[in-house]
Amino acid sequence: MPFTKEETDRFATIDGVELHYNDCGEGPALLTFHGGGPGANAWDNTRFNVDELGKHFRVLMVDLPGYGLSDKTATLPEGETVDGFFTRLFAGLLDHLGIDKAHFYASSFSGPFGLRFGIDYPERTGKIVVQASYASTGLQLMLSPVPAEGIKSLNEFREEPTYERMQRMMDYFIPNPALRSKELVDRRYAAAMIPGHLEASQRFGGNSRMSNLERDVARLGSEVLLVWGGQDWMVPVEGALRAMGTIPKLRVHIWRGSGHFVQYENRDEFNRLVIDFLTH
Amino acid sequence: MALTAENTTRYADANGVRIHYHEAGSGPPLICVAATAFGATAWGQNRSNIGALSRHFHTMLVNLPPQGDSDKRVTSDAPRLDFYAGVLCDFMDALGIERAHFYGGSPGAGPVLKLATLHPERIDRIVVDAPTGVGKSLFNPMPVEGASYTAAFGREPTMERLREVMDIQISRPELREEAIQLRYAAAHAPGYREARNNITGPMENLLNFLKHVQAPTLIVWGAADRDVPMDRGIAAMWEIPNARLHLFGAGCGHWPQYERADEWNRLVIRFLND
Repeated sequence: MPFTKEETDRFATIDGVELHYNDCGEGPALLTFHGGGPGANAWDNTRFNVDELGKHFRVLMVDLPGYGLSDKTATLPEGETVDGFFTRLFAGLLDHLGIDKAHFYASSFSGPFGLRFGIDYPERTGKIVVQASYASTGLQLMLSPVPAEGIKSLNEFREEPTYERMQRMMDYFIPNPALRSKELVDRRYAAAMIPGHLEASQRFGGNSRMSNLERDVARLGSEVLLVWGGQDWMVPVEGALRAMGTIPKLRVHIWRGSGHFVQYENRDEFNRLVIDFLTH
Repeated sequence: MALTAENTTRYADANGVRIHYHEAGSGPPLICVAATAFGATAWGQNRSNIGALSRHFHTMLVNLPPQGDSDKRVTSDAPRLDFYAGVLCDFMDALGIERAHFYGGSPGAGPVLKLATLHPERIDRIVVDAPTGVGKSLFNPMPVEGASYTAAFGREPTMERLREVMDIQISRPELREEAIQLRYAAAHAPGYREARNNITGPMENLLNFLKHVQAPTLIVWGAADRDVPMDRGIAAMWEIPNARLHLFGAGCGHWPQYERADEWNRLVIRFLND
C-alpha cells in the first residue's frame, strides 16, 4: 500500500516550535526536508520517492518552521543562526522520537542544514544526501549569472502570488514539459497560500544570519552524496564544483536533462542511487 | 574459484585480427574496452571490477591491438577511432554478439563512443571513465601533468618514468604498486612497442560526434584527476543527450574504477540494469 499524507501526518512541539512531519516506513531513520521556495514542503518534495525509500528506512519528512504545516509564528531566537536554530530543532525531534542517529536528505535551501547537523552532531549523523545545494552561506558562483533565471520567477511570485506566476515558477523548476502537471502546480500553489507561510518563510531566508558553513564543512566526517540536474534553472549546477572544493567526503551525480527536482524528474534512478548510497 | 588473468584469458579472431580478452560470468553481454595508452591492459584496468560485474553480466575485458596479447601485426592508417570501432564490431561478430553494454576507460572510451555513433543498434548502455580526447581543459594549464609524464614514459619506458605516470594517475599510494608492475610488464612485452607504430591514424576530437551518441551514458570522473581534467566531463555531459555525470571527490584520481572499486561496481551495475 502506498503511504498517504493523511495517515502519516504527525506533529511534535520541540522547544516551543510545532513541527509537522510524515512518518513512513521502518528501518534506520532518514530525515528528509525541502527547498525554500514558496509552497515548498516535505511531503510534496519527496512523495514520489517515499514508497521506495520507506522499504528501507523510517522516512521522517519534516516541514521546516514557516513551511507546510509547521509553525508559522516561530522567529529566529536572539543570538542564534538560522542553521543553528533549525538543527537544534532536528536534534530535539530525534530526541522526541527516541532516535539516536539518522541519515539526512536535504534539498536546495535545506542543504546547509543537513550539512550543519552533520558538523555539529557527528555522532548522530549517518550519511547525507544533498540536492542542488552546496556548502554556501555567501560563496558566490563565478560562471553563472546570479540571480538565476528561475529565482527571478520565484521572487516575482513572492511579490504578487498569483496562480499564473506559480505556473511560470514551476516551468523553471521542471524544464521537461512532459513532467509538468496541473496537479503539481495546484498543490504547490495551495501550499504557498497556507496562511502565514509566505511571511514566515521570509524570516529564515538570506545568508546574513547563517553560520560560516563553507569554513566549517571541512570538519564534516559524514559521507555525502550530492545530486543535481544539469538543467537546473534555480541553483546552477556550477554549485556542484563549489561543493567539490569544500565538502570532504563527496561524490556528485548529475543528470544532464533534469531541473531542480531530480528526485521527481529521475525518480527511479534517484531512488536506487540514494538507497544504495545509504545502505553501504 | 577466484578469477585470474590466466583463467579468464580467451582469444578471438576478429576478421583476421587476434583479440586477447578476459571473460567471466553470464547474462547480458558487457564489453569493457581497455585504454590504448602505452602499457595499458584490460586486466590492469578492470581486474577490480570483473568479479562484481561478472555476477550480473557476461563480462569481456578487451585489449585492442596491439595492447595485451592482442595482434602485433595489424596495421592501420585509418582515423583511429573508426579503426578501433571496426575492430570492436568484428569482435562482436566473432563471438556472435549482436548487442552489448559497453565500458571504456580513458583512451578506451573514444572507440566505444565512436561505435555508438556508427552502429547505435549494437549498443545498449555506455559507461565511460574519464575519456581522453574531449578537447582542452578550461581551467588546467595544458598539456596536463599526466600527458607530460605519459609522453616521457613512451620515449623512455623505464620503471622510474612509469612511477611518475602512476603517481599522478592513482591518488592512493597503496594502490599503485600492483598497477605499476602489470603495466611495466605489458609495456615490455615482445614486439609490443614496435607494434604501436603500426597504428598511425589520426585521433579525432570526441566533441565532433558526442552529440550523436544516443545510448544512455554514464560518465564517471575523479575530481583529483591529473591526467584528464574533470571539466571535460562536464563538456562531454552537455554533448551527449542522455548523459549523467558521476564525480568522485575526496582525492579520487584518474582510475575511479580501481580507486573506488566497490562503489564504482555498484554504481555501474545499477546503471546498466536500469
